[in-house]
Amino acid sequence: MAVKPAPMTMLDAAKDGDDGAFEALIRPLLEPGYRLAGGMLQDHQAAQDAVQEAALKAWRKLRQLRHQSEMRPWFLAIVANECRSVRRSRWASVIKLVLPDKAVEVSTDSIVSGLELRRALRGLDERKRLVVVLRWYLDLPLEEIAVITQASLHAVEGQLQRGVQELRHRMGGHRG
Amino acid sequence: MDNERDLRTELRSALDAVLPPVPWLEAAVRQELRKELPKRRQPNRIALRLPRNSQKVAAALLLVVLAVAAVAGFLAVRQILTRSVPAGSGSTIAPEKMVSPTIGWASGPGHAVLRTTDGGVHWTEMHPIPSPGFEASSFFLDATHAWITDTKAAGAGDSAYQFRTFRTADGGQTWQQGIAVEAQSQISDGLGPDLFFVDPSHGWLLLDGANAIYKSSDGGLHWQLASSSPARTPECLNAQMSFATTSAGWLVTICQGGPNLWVTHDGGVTWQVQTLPVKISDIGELDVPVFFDPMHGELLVGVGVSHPTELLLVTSDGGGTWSTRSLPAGDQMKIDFVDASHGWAITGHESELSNGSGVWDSLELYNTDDGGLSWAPMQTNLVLQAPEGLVTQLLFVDQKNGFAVRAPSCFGSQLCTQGPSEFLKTTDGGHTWMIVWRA
Repeated sequence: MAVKPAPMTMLDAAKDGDDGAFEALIRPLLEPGYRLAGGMLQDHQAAQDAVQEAALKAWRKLRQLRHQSEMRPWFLAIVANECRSVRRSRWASVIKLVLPDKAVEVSTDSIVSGLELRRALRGLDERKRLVVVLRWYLDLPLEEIAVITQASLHAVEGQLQRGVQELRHRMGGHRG
Repeated sequence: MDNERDLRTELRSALDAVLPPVPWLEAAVRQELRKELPKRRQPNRIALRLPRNSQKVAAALLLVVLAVAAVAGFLAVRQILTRSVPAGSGSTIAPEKMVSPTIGWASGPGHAVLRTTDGGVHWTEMHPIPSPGFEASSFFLDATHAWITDTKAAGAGDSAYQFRTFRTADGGQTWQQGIAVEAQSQISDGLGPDLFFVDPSHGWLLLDGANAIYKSSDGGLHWQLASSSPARTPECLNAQMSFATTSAGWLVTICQGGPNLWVTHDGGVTWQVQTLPVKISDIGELDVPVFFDPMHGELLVGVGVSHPTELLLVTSDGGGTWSTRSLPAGDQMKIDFVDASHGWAITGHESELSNGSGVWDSLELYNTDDGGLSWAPMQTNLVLQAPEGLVTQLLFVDQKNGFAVRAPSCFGSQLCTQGPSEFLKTTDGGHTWMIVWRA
């Protein structure tokens, strides 16, 4: 009996160098990637840069991805690493060279209102901040967060719990 | 439970407030993908854009060099293409090291290496790598020795990569290709390769994704596996390394809990945690140590997470012990030492905007001639902060001669400046500066 070849998936096409297929795969992940980077860095320009760089890395390293279903946690893990690496040396990277093409105006009132909480979030160590952002800001299931952070489910639960406790503590302990 | 729900809602609002929708992100990513290859990874470099002119001259030179290269193309030592960039052509370059008042190295897009022999007025552009791959790293040792390593997919296997090293020992006139290192990338993401040489022969190649450190004793022509990184896990990155001698070296790893510093005393075969006079868990940011000779080096650390306080650590026994030195009061934007005694700092006040971005003001230039025991503000004509940009790079060569880069800067969303890039030089230790070129 003749065996029909499996149909080529979008991922296969992208791995073969079809940048259109890659764009179709990456497009729905840009917004969550931007929110993750934004939650970690709290700077929308830096977040855009991180997502762009992460998308390029994903394109370069796409061969490492086995299944299309794993793309979201795989890409978000790259974004998380990118957020970490942009902070690798403050003295060497205080300036960004490229000016943004688009100016973004952010309402001053809305900025001020969440200042305390954003500061508290920035005060968390990176591991806890990542888990809190993935769970509370991106609404990802714990199982997927475990894949992204390459930690056990139990460890993720612990990090989330400790992160929230610390957030409360940093907010002054008046939130229960 | 209600409290938790409230806090969660409040957190979402707080982050939404500083993260406006960016509908153009998709188009921006597409645009970046279109120009992806070849592209040089330059995470920590400040680039300059040379002013436009002389494109015809450059093109003519390129034709001549092409003709020469066609003849010499089959020589074992490859004669590479060069072109002169006389303060022109719109090339973007990143000055990386000035080794004398006249000679310096820079990198440019497409894995280009640039060299000047007239103090930065003209730059010769070289492309040592045929068919450049992606993430690359370069290292400039002195006036004549330089290396560049790039990354290429190795063909077979989903995670196999080739790291190709090219070196010059004659200031870029000829480049030799070393035997490529093939390695499996074990981690789905990682930093690009990192190179370091202590002399023309002895060097190391750090491959973050492959979790490996290679060493060479013949100038990068052959590499041997020295060790695996001491801390590479999915939670850690191998950021950067430096060496003081052929045996003593340091490696910065960045883990989710913060950075860490490792030391080797056997040329990168075994690694131990470096003892510092600062609690490692307090360190939010960490640079790799810089050594001026086998005994004397300095190290910058940032203590704290959200707004680190900078500390200068120095050693005079080859990294065995480190002691704390002072820094000018304020936040350090740039620090540059030429030896164990003489250093400069651009210091100011970095305030935090409500959206989390930083902005600098009250910048001043300081110097020390006692290794950081004391610092004095300098009388200088260097405008550190102007509406069109900031002085962001100091490249001192010796006590008298140095260079600076002033470039447009962008902090946060509303604080982008748009002005000319400038390359400046001083011959009196930083008191008076003159513009080498402006673009």
